Amino acid sequence: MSEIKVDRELDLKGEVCPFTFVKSKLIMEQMEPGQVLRVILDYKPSVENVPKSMREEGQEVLEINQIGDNLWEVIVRKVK
Amino acid sequence: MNLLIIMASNPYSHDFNTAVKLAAASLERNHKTRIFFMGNGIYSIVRPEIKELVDKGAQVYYCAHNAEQRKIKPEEWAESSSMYGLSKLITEADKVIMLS
Repeated sequence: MSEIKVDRELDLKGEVCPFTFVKSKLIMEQMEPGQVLRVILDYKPSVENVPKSMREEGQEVLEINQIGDNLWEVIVRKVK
Repeated sequence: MNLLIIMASNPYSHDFNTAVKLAAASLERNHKTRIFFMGNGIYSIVRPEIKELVDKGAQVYYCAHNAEQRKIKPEEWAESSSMYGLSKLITEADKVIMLS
């Protein structure tokens, strides 16, 4: 687990592209700049592409950590 | 010019040759040339003609989800992308050719 203060958490276990990014983006839209979103993923291609797409959207990817056998967390700060 | 070719055709279809020839002609004219592999088009990414295009300056992208579904592991010179990535490439392109 990360030490970063997380404002919203999104469990996307069982979801694949493109829904992993779409659902993350929809939550991000409800958040304020500066707030932090933690996304839980169990689909490897999304672990690469959700952060990539978030960066292209101008958001700040703080951490990508493997937290289980087939489980990852992506922590993103909303910039805009 | 910025040309984007989207390759979604089945393996061994005539579209593969079309994509390769178009991309080669585009590169010869010094156009920015990008190829996006998706769906069953993913299978074509492993063919040597694509690596040759990369060596000539083509940028190659693929849908990571479609590759995972088909257990295809593209080489490092191909960039892992997504439908979001494709939407960005389309907005950046002057012309888009869809082969499916």
